[in-house]
Amino acid sequence: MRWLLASLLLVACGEDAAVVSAPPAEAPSPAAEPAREPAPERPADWVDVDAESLGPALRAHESRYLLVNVWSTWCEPCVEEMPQLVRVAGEYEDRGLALVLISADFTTQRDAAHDFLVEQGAPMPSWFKTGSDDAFIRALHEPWSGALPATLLMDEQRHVVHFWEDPVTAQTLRGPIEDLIGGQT
Amino acid sequence: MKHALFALALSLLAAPTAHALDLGDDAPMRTHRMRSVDGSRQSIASVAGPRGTLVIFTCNHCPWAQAWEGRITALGNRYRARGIGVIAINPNDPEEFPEDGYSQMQQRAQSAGMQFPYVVDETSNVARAFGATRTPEAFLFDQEGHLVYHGAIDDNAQEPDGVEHHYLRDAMDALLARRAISDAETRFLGCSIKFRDPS
Repeated sequence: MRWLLASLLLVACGEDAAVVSAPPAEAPSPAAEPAREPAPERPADWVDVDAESLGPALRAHESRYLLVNVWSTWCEPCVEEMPQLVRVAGEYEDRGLALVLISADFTTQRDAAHDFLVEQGAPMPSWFKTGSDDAFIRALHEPWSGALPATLLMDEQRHVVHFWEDPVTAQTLRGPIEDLIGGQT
Repeated sequence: MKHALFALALSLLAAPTAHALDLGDDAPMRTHRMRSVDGSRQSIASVAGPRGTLVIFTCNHCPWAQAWEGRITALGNRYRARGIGVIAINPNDPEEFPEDGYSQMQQRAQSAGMQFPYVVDETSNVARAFGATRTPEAFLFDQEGHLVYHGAIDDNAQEPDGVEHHYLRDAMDALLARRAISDAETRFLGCSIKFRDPS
């Protein structure tokens, strides 16, 4: 699955657009923490996205519908809402919904973000925002100010059908998701 | 009925901020005085400079505000000396982030070397009136009091040496030179403002 996505991204974006980091190695990277017991599953690698590669990457995603969330380890409401995002997205996975998490952390926070996503059972590989904020924000959704967290529900054409520029809960997520997906299986 | 009232109360508590100011708008709550780190009470009107006024919503705890803090201080000090009044406003509820408390603000202003007021928005209503959503968010007004720039400090919070667009600096230079500001509205990622409950 992760390699299918990675391949799709590369095909869709060209080699300069989406930067897919090295394949997961069996051996831990030099920066990895010492193995704990039981040894954690090695987190999948990041998919770096910037203003240019974001649109193609979203369009290349294999899932019919996308729940996109921009978050950061520094953003307390983002961290608080993550379990509900993961859970609700999981409930609708069989009906074509995928959760796309985009970390807006500084690169110095990559490892911390990585560890957090693994703890949360978030889908991997996860995405990491790079490049200009201004261009990225406008590329994702013009009305978005840039405040975190930001969550978007996208249809098959990757149009934004619902936008939350504030924290979400399972309750606030389900209505718009049901409206979009309806009775489809 | 009880449920409806409860839902209404919840929706009011969660009410989004007003639409952000548009270019050309006047600063709201200009004369509203706020306690500064030196104990004085300052307003946007009281700090207004002869050539413009810079209002920055910022805070102590936010990593983005911290990353930009040195640049905010340097810009504020430099352009204040050139006739642009400067005020930094902390709208966050210190109940949520004790690091944003008044004594911590005093320490931060001193350690950073701020030569301009760093004030407490005690109800978060000034930030609401501006439609500010995150820290650090800049609003620059010309000498007539109209908004001429709104947005980021620059395009790279993380790496000062990697900045390609010095949005706020360029906007202030343009204002002083009476030139048009090329990037008058910019977006950036920052910490959402921790608004106090509406009073």
